[in-house]
Order: sequence, then structure tokens, then C-alpha cells
Amino acid sequence: MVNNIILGQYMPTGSAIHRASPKIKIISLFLLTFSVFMVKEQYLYFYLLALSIFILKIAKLKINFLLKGLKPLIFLFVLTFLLNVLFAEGDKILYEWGIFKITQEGLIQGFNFFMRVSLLVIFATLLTLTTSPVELSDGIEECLRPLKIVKFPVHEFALMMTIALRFIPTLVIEVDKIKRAQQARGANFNDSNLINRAKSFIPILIPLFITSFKRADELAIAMESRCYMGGEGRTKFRHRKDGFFDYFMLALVLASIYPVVCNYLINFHK
Amino acid sequence: MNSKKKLISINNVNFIYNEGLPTECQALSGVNFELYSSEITSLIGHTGSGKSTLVQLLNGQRSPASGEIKWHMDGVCDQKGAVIKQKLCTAIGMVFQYPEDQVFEETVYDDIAFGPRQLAKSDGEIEATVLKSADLMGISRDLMKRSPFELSGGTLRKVAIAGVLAMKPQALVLDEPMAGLDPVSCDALAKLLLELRENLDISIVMVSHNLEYAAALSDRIYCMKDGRIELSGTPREVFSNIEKLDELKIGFLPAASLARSLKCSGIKFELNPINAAELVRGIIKHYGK
Amino acid sequence: MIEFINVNFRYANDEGEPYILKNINLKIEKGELLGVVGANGSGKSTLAKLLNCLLIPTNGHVLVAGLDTSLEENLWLIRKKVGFVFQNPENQIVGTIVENDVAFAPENLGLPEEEIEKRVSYALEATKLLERRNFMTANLSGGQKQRLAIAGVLAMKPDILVLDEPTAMLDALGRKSIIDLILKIKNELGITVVLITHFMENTLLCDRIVCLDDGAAGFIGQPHDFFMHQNDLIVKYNLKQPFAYEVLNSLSAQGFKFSEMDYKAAAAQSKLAEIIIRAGENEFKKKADIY
Repeated sequence: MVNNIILGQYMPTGSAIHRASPKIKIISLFLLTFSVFMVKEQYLYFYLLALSIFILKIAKLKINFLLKGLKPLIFLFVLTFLLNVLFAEGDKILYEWGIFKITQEGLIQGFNFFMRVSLLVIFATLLTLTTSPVELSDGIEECLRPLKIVKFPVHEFALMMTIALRFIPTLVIEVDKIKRAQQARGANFNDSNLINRAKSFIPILIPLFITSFKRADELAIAMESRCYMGGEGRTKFRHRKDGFFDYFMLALVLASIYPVVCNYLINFHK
Repeated sequence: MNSKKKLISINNVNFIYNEGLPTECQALSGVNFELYSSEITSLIGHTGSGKSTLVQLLNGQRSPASGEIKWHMDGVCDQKGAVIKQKLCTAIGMVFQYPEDQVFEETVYDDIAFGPRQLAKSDGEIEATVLKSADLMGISRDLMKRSPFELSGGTLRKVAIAGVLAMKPQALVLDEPMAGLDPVSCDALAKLLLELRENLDISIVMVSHNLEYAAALSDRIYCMKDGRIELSGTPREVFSNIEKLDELKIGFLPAASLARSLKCSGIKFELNPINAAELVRGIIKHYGK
Repeated sequence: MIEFINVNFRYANDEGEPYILKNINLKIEKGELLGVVGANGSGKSTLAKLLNCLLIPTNGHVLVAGLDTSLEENLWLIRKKVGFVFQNPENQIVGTIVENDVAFAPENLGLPEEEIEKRVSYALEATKLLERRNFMTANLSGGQKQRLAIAGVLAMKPDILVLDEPTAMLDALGRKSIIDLILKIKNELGITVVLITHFMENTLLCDRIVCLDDGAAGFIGQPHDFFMHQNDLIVKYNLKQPFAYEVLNSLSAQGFKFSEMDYKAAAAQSKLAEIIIRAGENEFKKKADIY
């Protein structure tokens, strides 16, 4: 069987960004997200959009992949855009019809909202396109490490993520198998009646829960048999150490959001 | 002995996955297959041999790229002869691997009744069907009120199969029915399958790697490799063909293989043995005891 | 290497609770391949779990390399020495990628990175998974997953390997690969192996077998000895004889004579035909002489 990528949208191209430290990439995502919310003048949205395309190109990816990530959210975008446009309060009324008011403020608000959500999704998608699920979970663990001081269970959290990732393909196959088995017994998962449709999932959920609990039990015993004693004293295989290049990349990200931050500070009182 | 009726015939069927795409692959080539009632048929082959695809054709899940598949079962086709998918679904009972994983109701009775209830039968009819299926699988009445999750693996598997039998299928397809069971439970299940063949008019199809049980239970065996049926016939015919089995890398029955070695040293067998008992009988006969 | 001294075990120390294991006395030698057989529910898995402190004896002692399993301070020392492989390959794998999963045990032991790297390579090589080291574990076949489980345990460099029905959920190809691997581990790595199995064919590889009879050690000895002389236990527990012995015992019942050497040699199926022919000729000749 081909070693294919099942989870997320990870597209390995071997670019510099793919090879960069997951921790730095996650921090970069936060910085870019932060900057999205700091935009005060609309043209900066386009600046950030251009920035995202620039990053996409360095990652040697095609614009298709980004668009694929946005596709499922189109309905949400359009809906919230319309809600903003049609119901927002404002002075400069451009068009009125019954309870619907299209104001200039409303249009601007709708546009802002649309751009913000799009950019957030784009930046998040860039992360998942360039970072494998395993790297992501390692990166999240690294980012949370400082929280150990406040007794946050960083190791347990990371282990939970690893095990969840590991079992997702298994669970997908299992759900499919149980679904087909119940269908073979006449179960109908396409009932038009919503209540019946909800009920129809019981023959899938119960067996799934039961096998999952059994699985968890067996896995725990197997882990203990392999000397799992908790997070204390554990070392890491292939511990990725951040290098000059990673910090350089972080510096570049900071530099690229500088215009947005400056603009925000300048326009702070408006 | 029940009279045999042809239930499904498959003629020169081809099936291609992902036709036209770079991942295109020929899953079935020129397959001829017939299913009869009151018979146990075994499908043997490794992963990728095409067995699962063939099963998916049998229950209408997939359609062949070319060739013909005809269902001769009651109530499955409309007046024009086209097959009705929903009816086919219940006419061919599918028991997947580790069927005990699909059990979910609070009591054994309720779980077996799940299928009949989906068919919206009356309570009286449901009860009769459930009890009959339970009897067929050797499930005692006092187990009916218990939670299925208290039962052992072998018993739970019987409950799962009873649940499929309760749909009154005309054919029963079991995917690796012996998988994961201890030898005693395997023998018990084998016995039950033989009884099903005697008591009901259904056709039983076993998809399995287990050559011993295929030899012991089947009326007909089909060996598949790379999408083709390479060898078929009665167990005796199939397992005596050691060269072909070796070529297909399917493995061999120890009895057949030993008989071969003994034949080379001069022992004559009337019948090609396919189990230890036949082998021993053959040896003793040869030495004139 | 391992000693069971007057071991009794039941799950709760209540009046009515039945004993699963009764008065087990057993010594397992270093480098031995010991098979544990018996009816379903006879206590085979329970016996296995006493070896790595998953269970502690109710009475008596289990000593692993001299360490008493009932002493808490020995727990992790023993777990490091005893690798345990379970029946379901799926539920033993922790990592998403093959080599990360194998590294799990060395990480738990707090070994330095270079040592972990060495052990991962060693374990993957022993289990023939080296080319698949970067594969996703979800994409492995059943037999490969079980090999991975064994690799994960070999990475601890254990002295003992306990396998509880390791092939029960595998197909014929998978079963063969695991059995070959077990033999390799025993012969090349010198690890003591305890194999719990209901496939009687597997007993033919073992140096000795233990047959549990209602919780007690009904028979401890060599496999050929068991199949030659312990028919009552075999019948009582509906144990299937390996094919070779089924044939020899049936012929024996009809008057064919086989020696102990014959039974020992029969384990290698290739010799079986010879043995039968020889015995048959003797009988035939005897009959011919009489006439």
C-alpha cells in the first residue's frame, strides 16, 4: 500500500517552509492572525493577501490548494457577509427595502468581516499544507512547554494528540465497516425525517464507543508494558532543535507584519 | 437433501477500479461464477486477488464493466428483469469480519430483532423470526434477555450472524467467519454452518484463507489470484492440484501434501485425501488391514 | 531465568471467587522457547500477565531473573526485562509513524537520543521493517503491525519476550511471518520466549510446552512427549493435535508402531512420509512373514 497522506491537507514539496521548525510556524500563524485583526485601513487586507500568496509560492504550492481549503466555507462567508450588509446599523443608507437596509457602513463591515475570515483560513491552511500532522502535534507541544510552570499537563496533552492522530484512520475504517454492516441489516441513514436520521446513528455510535473503550484499555496496558511511567524522565526521539534559519524566518514574519502594526498604532485613535 | 437452485450466475465479468485515472487497476478479468442454493461455496485468495470485488458484485454494490451478472432469486428483480437494489440488499445477507463489532442493542433479543424491525414487520412476526434465527445459531432462550456485552467472542459472533439470518436472506456471505476464534469455537461455528445448509434452503459463501475449513465445509471452491479465477471445483479436485496451488501461493492442505509424498513412495490412494482421517484410512487400506 | 513457586491466582480475595491458577511450579530456562497451551479460559493469559507484573500472584512467588514480581520496587526493572506482545496488533501501536512508535519504549526509559536511534534501527532490522521506517502505521498490514509491536518491545532490549496469542488475528501469511520472527529472535538474539497459543501447530517449534488443566500445570515437558502420551488431556480440552501427530496417533491406534524418535522427527513434516512408510513396511513385512 502506498505511503499516502491521509490526514489534513499536508502537501510535502520539500520547500524551505516545509523544512522549517513547526514551533516557529505555529508562532508565525499567531503573529499573522494577530495582524489580521490589527488592520485599520482596508488596503492592508490586500497587502496580507499578497503576503499569503508570496508564502504559498515559496512553499512551492499551487493556488488551487488554498482555494480547496476555502471552498467548504463559501456558504458561511456569503451568509455572514449578507447578514452584515443587510442588517448592520449605519447612517449613509444606499438602498432600503422593508427591514433590509444596505448602508455604506454595512458594506464596509461586511467586507472587513469577509476579508478577516478569509485571511484567517488562508494562513491556517498554509500551516496545514506545509506541516505534517505529526510535526504539528510536536510543534504544539513545544509551544505549550512554557506552561509547565503553571502545572499545565503539556506532556499528557501532547500524548493525547499523538494517540488521537494515530487512531483517526483506524476509526474512519471502523465507522465505515459498522455503517456497512448495519446497512446490510436494513438500517437507513438517509431518512428525510431529521429525528429519525439522528436516531439512525445509534447503531454506529454505540459499537464505536464500545470498541473505542476496549481499545483504550488495551492500549493503556500495552503502553505500561513498554514502561510508560508518565511524562517524567522521558526523552525525545529526533528532537528538532531550532536553528538560525528558523529564527531568521520568524524575524521575516515580524518584519512583514510591521506595516500593519505601524498603521494600527498611527490610526489608534480613529 | 434439498434440490439445488441456481441463484446467481456471473459470466465473463470484468471490473476495473478508477477507470481512466492513473490509479486504474483491473480487479476482475473474465470471471465466471455460479452460486447455488443449499451449497457452501468458498472463495479463497490473498488480499488483492479480487475476492472482495467479486462479493461486491454479488450483492449489487458494484456493477461489472463488461460481462453479465444475473440474479435468479425470488423477488429481487422487477418485471423487466432489472435488479431492485433494496431487495437485493436483504436477499444477500452480509456478515463482515469480526461481526461482533456491530452488535449494539441492550439485549441479545433486541439486537437480533434490529434487522426485522427495520423491515417494519409486526411484533408477532418479529418474535417468530428472532427466535428461529436464535435457534438456528444455537443461542439458548436464557441468553436472549442478557446484554450481548457479557458474552464471549464466539457466542457474540453467533448473535451477530443470527441478526443477519433474521433478515431471511436467500444467500449468506461470510467474510473470514473463523477469524480470531479459538479452535473449539471454530469447530462449533463450522458445525452450525453445516446445519444451516441442511435446515435452510440458502446458499452460503465463505470468503476465507482457512484451507482446512474450506475443505471440510465446501461443496465448491473458487481460488482467485490477480482478479482471475485460477482454480475451481470440489475440495478434493482443488486440493489435489498441488502444483497449481503452489503456483498460486495459496498454501496447501497438509493431508493432500503428505498423500502426494506417500504416493511417490508407492502408496496408492483410492480417493485423494483432504483431511487426516481420510489419509489414515487410505494408508491402512493400502497396507491391507 | 523465570521461576513460578507455588503460584496461585484469583482476581479477588473473596470466599466464593474461583482460583484461575492453582499451585503452579515451573522453571523457564534462559534461551528457551516455551509454549503455553490449554482450553480457552484455562488461565493461559493470566499466567502470561504474571510475568510482567500486570498481575501479582495471590499466593506464591514469580521470580523474573531473580526479581520478585510482588515487590513494588521491582516493577519497572521487570517491565524493562520482559517484553509483552498482545493479541490485537492494532491496539498496541502508539505512534503515527513506524519509527516513532518503535522509539516509544526507549523514550519512556529516558535514554539519550543517539541510543534511541541505535535501538530503533536495531529493532526495525530484526523485524525486517527497516525500509518502512517512515511509513504511517495505519497503512501497514496486520502481520506488519504485529511485527511493529514486536519491534517496539525489542527496542527495550528485553531478556524475555512474552507473546499472548500473537497470531490469532492474522491471516496465514501474517502468521507465518510472526512465527519465523519468533524463531529468529530465539535463535539469533538469544531471548527467552514464552508463547501463549491456541494453534497447536506452533507447539512443534517449542523446546517445551505447558498445558494448563483447569488452572493447574497438567503437563510440562517436550511437545512430542505430550502428543504421544497425554491423549486424555488432549481429548478433555478438545485440543487439536498438530496434523503430524494426529496422523501418527491414528495409525498407532490401528497397530502401526512408532518410536519416540519418530515422534520427535515428525515435527518436521518432511520426515513424516518416511516414518509412515517405514512403519507400514514393518507391519506389512510382519504380516507377510506370518503368512
